[in-house]
Amino acid sequence: MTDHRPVPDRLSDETLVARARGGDADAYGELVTRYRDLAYRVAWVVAPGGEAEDAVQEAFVKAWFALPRFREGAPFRPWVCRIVANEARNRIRSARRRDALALRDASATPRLDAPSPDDAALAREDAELLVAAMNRLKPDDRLVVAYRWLFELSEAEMADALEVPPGTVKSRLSRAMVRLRDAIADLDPAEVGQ
Amino acid sequence: MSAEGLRRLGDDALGTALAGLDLRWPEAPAATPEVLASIRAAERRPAFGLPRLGAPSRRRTVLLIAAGLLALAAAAGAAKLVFDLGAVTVDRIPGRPTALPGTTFPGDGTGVSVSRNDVEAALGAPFETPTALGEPDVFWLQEPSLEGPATDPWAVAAWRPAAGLPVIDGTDWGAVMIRFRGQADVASKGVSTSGATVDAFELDGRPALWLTGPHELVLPIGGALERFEVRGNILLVQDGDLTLRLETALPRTSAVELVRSIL
Repeated sequence: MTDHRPVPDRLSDETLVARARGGDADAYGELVTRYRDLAYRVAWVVAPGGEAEDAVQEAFVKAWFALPRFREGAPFRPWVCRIVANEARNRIRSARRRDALALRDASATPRLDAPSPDDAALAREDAELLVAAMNRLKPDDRLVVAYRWLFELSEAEMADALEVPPGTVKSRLSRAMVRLRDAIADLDPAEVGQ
Repeated sequence: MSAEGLRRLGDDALGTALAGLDLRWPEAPAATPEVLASIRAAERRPAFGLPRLGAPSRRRTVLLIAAGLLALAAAAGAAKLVFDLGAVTVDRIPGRPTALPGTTFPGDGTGVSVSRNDVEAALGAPFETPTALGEPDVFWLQEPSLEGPATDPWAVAAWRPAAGLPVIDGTDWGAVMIRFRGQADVASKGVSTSGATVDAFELDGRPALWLTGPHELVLPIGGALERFEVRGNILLVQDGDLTLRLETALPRTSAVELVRSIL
């Protein structure tokens, strides 16, 4: 690892990865900084709770040592998502506490049946219902849904992150959405907003 | 809108609703200094590579140590070691194999075959199988009813021999994959130190075992523990909460590629 070479602002991921593969730790540090928020959210989606922080750190350390195997020119974002999700999955059972996705307090959320985006405000209770249903999904289903709708990964990125063929992404997402609907139907009103 | 209203939405509309949620994400920690410090510390170490921060690391260390001990034990010819890989426990038994059961798995007594849909409905998750093998010829579903720790249903997929997929000695099958979920021990294997090999390694960072040579497999079927003789090559991989067992007559590299394609 070489130390302390200045990293100019907003180099492309590809450039940073190439530098990191050459042993430039500062370039890798820039990638970590760039993707730590996403990584933390991915870990949180898979295993909400106090293990997310450890999962993210260990995932980034593993990713550094796996850089020699990283396919040159491949996108970094889905690759790191994959490593983080695997790491978080490994920690599900050892998690000391369980948290869950939650809405911000008094948040305004878009409405689906609104005639225009301007007056789109999904009722708070519907938003809470949706979040509660997400929390009921199994981690892998929640991750697929989150990749698509919360983190806005493209289909190709999802395929990369999930390590499945592109065609499988659609079927996995479709099955997860079916189960999300089932979870909505099965929800006990007492669970909503918890 | 109501629960019923949300349920009636199409995938895109429901997804748009999700995308519009104002979620309260916990603040991400400033991971960069810790990550770089861990990398530097690891690179200063002479061996064993990565620094270990949690349970998986301990598990991996145990596997590495176990692999080392195994070599010593084999040399000494008298030791019993246990590998615990998710839902599967592998006992390494000193000496030559005692009489094996003679019944191979899957076969008579495995139960009634079911459809993929039935299996996935019971598992509550897709049963990913290697596309290179094509769609399995048969699925079985097992719901353990033995006393002890609660275990999830486990499922078996099997493929008939085909070009490039040789028959597993003593069976009618070319490949057999078992999918376990959870950490409770469901299956166990008895492997004699003489005539069989166990190699602990990592498959893309996941704990894995490669077993060759005849050995015994014990599975809970229909509420009873059943013993089977295994003659194929076995690849066991733990992927988080999942444990996959692939039996084939293929070499290790081919088996690894098949399993890697679904991880």
